[in-house]
Amino acid sequence: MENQNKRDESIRKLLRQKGLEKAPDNFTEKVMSRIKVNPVIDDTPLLSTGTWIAIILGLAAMIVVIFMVDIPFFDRVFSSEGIQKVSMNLFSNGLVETMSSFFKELNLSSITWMIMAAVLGLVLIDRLLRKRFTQAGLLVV
Amino acid sequence: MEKRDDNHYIGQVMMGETAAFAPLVNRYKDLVFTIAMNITRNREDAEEVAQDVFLKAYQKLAGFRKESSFPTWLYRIAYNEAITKIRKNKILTLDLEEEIMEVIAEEEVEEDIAGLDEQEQKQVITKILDKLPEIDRVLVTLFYLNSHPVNEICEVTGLRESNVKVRLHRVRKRIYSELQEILKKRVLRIN
Repeated sequence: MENQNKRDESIRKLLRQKGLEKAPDNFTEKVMSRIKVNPVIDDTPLLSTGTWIAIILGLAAMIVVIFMVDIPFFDRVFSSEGIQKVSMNLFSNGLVETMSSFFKELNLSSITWMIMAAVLGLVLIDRLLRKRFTQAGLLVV
Repeated sequence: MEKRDDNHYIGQVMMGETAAFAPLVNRYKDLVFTIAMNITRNREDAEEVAQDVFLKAYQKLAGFRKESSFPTWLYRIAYNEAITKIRKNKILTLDLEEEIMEVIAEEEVEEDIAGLDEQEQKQVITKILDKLPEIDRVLVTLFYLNSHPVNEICEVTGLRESNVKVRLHRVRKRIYSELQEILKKRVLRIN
């Protein structure tokens, strides 16, 4: 620890000797003249009211559909039959037959479909937020 | 002229007094330019980035929530702008090379540094900084030169605290190792 402090102190001393890079001459004037060309302060929030309303409505709709509406699909999701196995015996035949039988025999459980939909939703939200934050200069993608 | 704090000028800018932004530019231009230089390694690009940073900061001032200090917010914009700029040019050196450090004799190095004059010390540290990856140069500037605490460095760079600490530890070792190397060569040259 003592060694580390010593090193820190020496490095700090050396760096202070070098100092900061000096911004070019007339830097402030150049910036201010660029600002004068377009002096508008952008006060639109990162997520517009519309986006917030869409997110809240989406969440509310999900809650209503899952917990309040009696849909046989969701009854199956949470029942023991909802979880079915996927046939993995697909590759014993030729490629074309395998591909066509793959989709024929693809028997994903409803929970799997829900997970896939949720992942897709998350990816879309992630892309939307990244785009907004990158535009604001607050995130590097 | 009396120096006011950042919030005073920010308040004035928000009330439509555009010229009140100039003292903020004056106050932080050198460190913003240094961060841009650390990452772009080129004066023209660094100037362009630094100007864009202040322009963006001005335009997005309404979005500055004062959760962090104004300079921290500004440096984060600078860091992101500079990284975006060099990503476009695809010249980012992301990681420290894995180096095996030899045991460094602290006292020896410090004595040798003390034996250098001011100009030589500047040359030595410039040479060492040039060899560091861009992100580490920013960490060194913020931590050593501007005495930023680690948590604020995390805010600026978006790196995790443990990551910043590990990087600083490795950079510290690397700077010492480079120092020793340079000083050894100087001694051989003099002899």
